[in-house]
Amino acid sequence: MITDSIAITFTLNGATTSIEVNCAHTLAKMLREQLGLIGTKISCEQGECGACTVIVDGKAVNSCIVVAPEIDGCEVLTIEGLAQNGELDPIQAAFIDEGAVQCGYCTAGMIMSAKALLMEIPDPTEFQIREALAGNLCRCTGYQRIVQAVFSAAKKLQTLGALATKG
Amino acid sequence: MATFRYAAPTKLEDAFSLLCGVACDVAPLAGGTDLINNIRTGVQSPKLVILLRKIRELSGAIQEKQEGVLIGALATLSEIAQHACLRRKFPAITESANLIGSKQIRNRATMVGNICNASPAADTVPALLLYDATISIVGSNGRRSVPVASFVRSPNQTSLTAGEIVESIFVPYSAAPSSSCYVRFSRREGADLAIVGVAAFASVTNEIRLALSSVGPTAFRAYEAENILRQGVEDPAIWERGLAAAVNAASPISDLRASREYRLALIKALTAEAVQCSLSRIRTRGRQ
Repeated sequence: MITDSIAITFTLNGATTSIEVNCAHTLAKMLREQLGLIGTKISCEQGECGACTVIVDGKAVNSCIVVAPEIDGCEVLTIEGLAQNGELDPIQAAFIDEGAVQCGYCTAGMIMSAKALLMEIPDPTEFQIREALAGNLCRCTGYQRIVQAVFSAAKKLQTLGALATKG
Repeated sequence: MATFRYAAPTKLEDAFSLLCGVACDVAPLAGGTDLINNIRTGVQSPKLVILLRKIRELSGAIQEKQEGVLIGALATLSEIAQHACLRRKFPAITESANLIGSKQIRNRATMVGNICNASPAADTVPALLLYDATISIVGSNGRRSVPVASFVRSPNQTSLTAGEIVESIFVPYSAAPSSSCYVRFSRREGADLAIVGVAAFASVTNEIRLALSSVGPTAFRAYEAENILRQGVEDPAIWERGLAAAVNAASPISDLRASREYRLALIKALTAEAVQCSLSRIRTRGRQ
């Protein structure tokens, strides 16, 4: 069936979501303008800068070059879905603690790339961190503190994981 | 962004009738990392976009067969880069897949999309040329296979005719134990195209193969350089002649990324690096 708009159902930050989308709209546009989730930033709009990074089915993607109807049946995680019960995700907390945020425009994308990395590799090397963040541009920080924040979040998550296993 | 209509067929048969319906105004969508940008910038303005991912007969599987490895149309560059058998048998393919774009891009983009784009700077094409990969094409008139060398015809032009799509890429194992590598020079990893890319193959039978990207209208094999280097890379005269032949085979342009002269100098340096790397990989394997 050829269509201009389509009803899709997907999981958004853990909740089943059904919505009618314009087929030519991107996932980023749908999240921001239809669902009001403006934590996901739009910057280059060509998949170069990573500001719009979200996680789809466990993988980091640029939501500015994914069209909304493609998301039908997928599981989407955005920056808004990280904090649980008012508690920041350890990656968010580490970005604050390490001073990894300056203007903040790249931060949501950086954190989502870091989240996807730590979901796949809980104990990454510095190279793996830099490789995972290579598609996220930051014009303020010089990256060192961002890499450090991901390291420290990984350590924190491992400690929490070990405690959970023991407890 | 320009508007377009959308279809998500679940059967190949339905895709064919859609693809033939409005002729050149139709664009198939796999990873979309090039297509969506092209639509936004006006490079492409399809009236209809057809999602391939829901088509049952198309696969994202990477399958080890008796004679080689079959890469499905929907396999992402991330899946290809992480595949153990590809890494072992065809390191240049793994490396080229892993050098494209960023993690976010590789998680969506497909190798089939990369070859269908037919960019002069395509990273995966040189590696596929090294191994004489074949491209399996399917359309309403049936299936056909073409070598990758004749599939990519000119910038942005493939041998696909209206209504056809690529079903898979088949990469045959090389007869003798071998190794390969892909080296690329670009301004920034993770966000830029190749200025020059060189893929090299070496086997225990002294065979050398070379393929170059970003230095001509399409990626190509440098056969003359291969034939010279095959005579013995330890001989400094042969080595120099072989590298010169690789440079001579190229016809680079000057553009915003680099001048023609810079590219010519890079070909020599990267060819040397790629060949040495492939040879040392065979030696390392020999000791294992």
